[in-house]
Amino acid sequence: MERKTASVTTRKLSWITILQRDFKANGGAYLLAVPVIAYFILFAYKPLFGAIIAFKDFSRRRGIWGSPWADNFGFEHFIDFFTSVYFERTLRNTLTISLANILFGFPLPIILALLINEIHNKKYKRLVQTVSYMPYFISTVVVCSMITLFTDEKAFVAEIVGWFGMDVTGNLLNYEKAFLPIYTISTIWQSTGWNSIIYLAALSSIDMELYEAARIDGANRWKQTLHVTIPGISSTIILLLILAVGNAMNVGYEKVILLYNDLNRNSADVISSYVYRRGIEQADFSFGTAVGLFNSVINFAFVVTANKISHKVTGAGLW
Amino acid sequence: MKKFAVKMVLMLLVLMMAFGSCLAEAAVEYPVGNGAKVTIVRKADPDLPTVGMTSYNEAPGVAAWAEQTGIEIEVIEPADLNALLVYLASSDLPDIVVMKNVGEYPGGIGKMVEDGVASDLTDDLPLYAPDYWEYINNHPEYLSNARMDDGRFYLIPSTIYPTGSPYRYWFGMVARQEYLDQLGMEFPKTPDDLYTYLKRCKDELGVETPFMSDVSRWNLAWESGDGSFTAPFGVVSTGVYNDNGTVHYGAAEKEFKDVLLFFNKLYADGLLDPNFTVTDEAIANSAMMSGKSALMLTAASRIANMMKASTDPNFSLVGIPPLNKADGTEAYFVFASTYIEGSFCAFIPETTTGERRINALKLLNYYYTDAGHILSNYGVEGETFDIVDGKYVLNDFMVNNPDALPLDGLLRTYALMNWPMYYDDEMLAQRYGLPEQAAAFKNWAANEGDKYQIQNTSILPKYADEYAKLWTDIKTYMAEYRSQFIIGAKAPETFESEYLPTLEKMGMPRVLEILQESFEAFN
Repeated sequence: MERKTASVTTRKLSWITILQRDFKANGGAYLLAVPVIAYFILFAYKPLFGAIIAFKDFSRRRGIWGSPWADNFGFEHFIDFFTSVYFERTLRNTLTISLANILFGFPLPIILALLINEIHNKKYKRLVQTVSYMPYFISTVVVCSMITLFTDEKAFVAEIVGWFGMDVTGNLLNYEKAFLPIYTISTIWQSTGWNSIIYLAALSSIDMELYEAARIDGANRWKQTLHVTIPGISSTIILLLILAVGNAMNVGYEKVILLYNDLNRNSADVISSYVYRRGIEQADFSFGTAVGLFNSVINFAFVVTANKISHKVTGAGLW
Repeated sequence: MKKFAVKMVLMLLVLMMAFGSCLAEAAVEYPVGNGAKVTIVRKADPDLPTVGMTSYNEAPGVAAWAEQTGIEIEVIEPADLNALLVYLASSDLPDIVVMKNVGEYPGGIGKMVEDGVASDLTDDLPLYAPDYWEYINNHPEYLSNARMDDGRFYLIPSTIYPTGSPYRYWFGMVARQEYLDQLGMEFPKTPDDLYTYLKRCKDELGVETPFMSDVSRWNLAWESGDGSFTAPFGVVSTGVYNDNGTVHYGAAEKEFKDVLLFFNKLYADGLLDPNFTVTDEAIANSAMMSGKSALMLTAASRIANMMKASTDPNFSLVGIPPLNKADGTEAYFVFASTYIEGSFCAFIPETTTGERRINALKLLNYYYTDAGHILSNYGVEGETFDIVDGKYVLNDFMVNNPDALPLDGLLRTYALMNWPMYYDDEMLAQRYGLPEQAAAFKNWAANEGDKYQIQNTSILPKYADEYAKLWTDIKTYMAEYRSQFIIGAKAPETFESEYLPTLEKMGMPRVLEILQESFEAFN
């Protein structure tokens, strides 16, 4: 008994001692870490407690602690969401849009980065990079009004669609089925250039000697890409893919709200736009928080699963 | 001795009453001039840019209000309703909150009081807003909108129309008069007439999209209860109305299908703007002016804007009365403001206490004094109006502005039209001074609206949460179904097989129950 206690204290002491020694040796590094730690405490952990209003009937006047607990042991707002007539449709649309974005939007930056990497004329390379980043810096509001203009029956997108036998009356956006392609293609246009930056950075870290060795072994450009370049950035790809899967439930509401209308809402309404209507427009903050919390739990589950699969298949992962 | 005591008590009572009433009736003296400052929050007015201003803090009317009352005013203007709600939820509350009494604050006045955004004014009004108190007590017809079901007063109402004023009917269908003349038609009376007018405009006059409205007015017609085109199909209006004491919701009635079928026909024949869910006001108005369209749903003030902006000397607009049945049965209803329009009601948060509360009330009371009434309707004498034969007449700066600024924008900034004021019918007659506007009012007011209109559409506070939850979802569904039906994406038979059952599943019967009970409590 006595021994046990003693051993615990020794361990504790030793841990503190280690810390003290380390602090003495590297005090400056600890000092440098303070703002980062403070940032996470203030902006990532402290707001977590606010999530408690998901289980309460939040009222501004009563504050977070004074507000009464919601019915059904605090789960009223969750039940409300799951039984809502729009639950199925918003969940379906959210997952479809996410999936389409990962399926079509994820490989493109990699391809673009590989192509840019093959350009040897420096000036031309910079020009291509700049041009491809540009759309990322245009405000979503502007992008959406551009989309609305381009998809009008008299504009070029509707015309192109017309070649394939689809007759557009009014605006292409008025068609339920057209929303997903419009959303996905415009998102790809907006973000591909920007997203390729991180791959370009990864590409520049590949050891040049590997290429040389490959060339000596008789590999052509395509073989070099396949056997040197792609394995070289595979860990980055996996990392970003896991993160993208972890964001599957977060389809931003800004673009959706700017593009949807009564005619296409059936295929455009996502969880976040529904939360916007209920949570913000109706000031039902508890409901909004409950749905946000639900989203985070699902996202978390996705990340863990994706990581597990990645470990099994490729032997690498986030952690 | 006993008698003396009784006398004394009586004397005292009389004295107290006299003194007490004297206190209650004590007029507020302006300017107050105690260096007071009052902050007011209201959503930004989208009409201010039409007169080159961005904020009410620049408006001469507000400056005159501050000068005449001796109270400094600061107006805080979040961009729109959502921004205002976020402001109310996250910031320190100002002294006065100006917003609509029904339909803006989620959960209604009951929730406002619970959240501290509004507070009970019943005891303060007789003391610090005596002119308002006298006015409202002399006009019992306005009381249902000015107080809550518990008989307490939580707000000072806004934009009150004189009873019997035709100017409440400021919304309806507008057509091109010269097209009617060219086609040799009278204005359309039945749905068939309307169809013929639109069809002939397209076929004979080459009008591209004969029926085009901007989306906000289009939605107003479908969602705020308009009857411009529903009567021939046996529905009073698209929204909520009272038929002999029973509350109905037009879009949830069986007969509503025929209204939709009519619009579906217009759409299928290329007569209705295919972008009706997104068309904005600039597009719709310019289409009307350039002859790309021939019919629109719009407001009386817009008739003047378009008439003034048009360079075509033949351009002429006419307001069309609500459609009738073929047998000429009177139309029921067009959209109209209630006697108290209520968009700019003043609430005083519970955090406004002591001297600040008194100043806020005195500031609002000014609208109900004679001088304040003139300022709010006409502006400042010599600058915006002149007195001619004892009458107040808006001058040329307002009516024929040298920079062609629209009158409505000027009335908002040089007078105080969108504040908790009451209208002068004489001013409204001048505001809608064009003969086309006068004719439109006459035509739009030709209906039995008073019989069906619900004056106070507040929801009982105990049902506010439940109602808001049900209604948000139902409203979205109605709008989607309606639009899809019109473009033909929903087959006609789905009205019975899908639409009505879904409404029932979403709780429409419960919504009607709540509306009925609230209607009985408030009206």
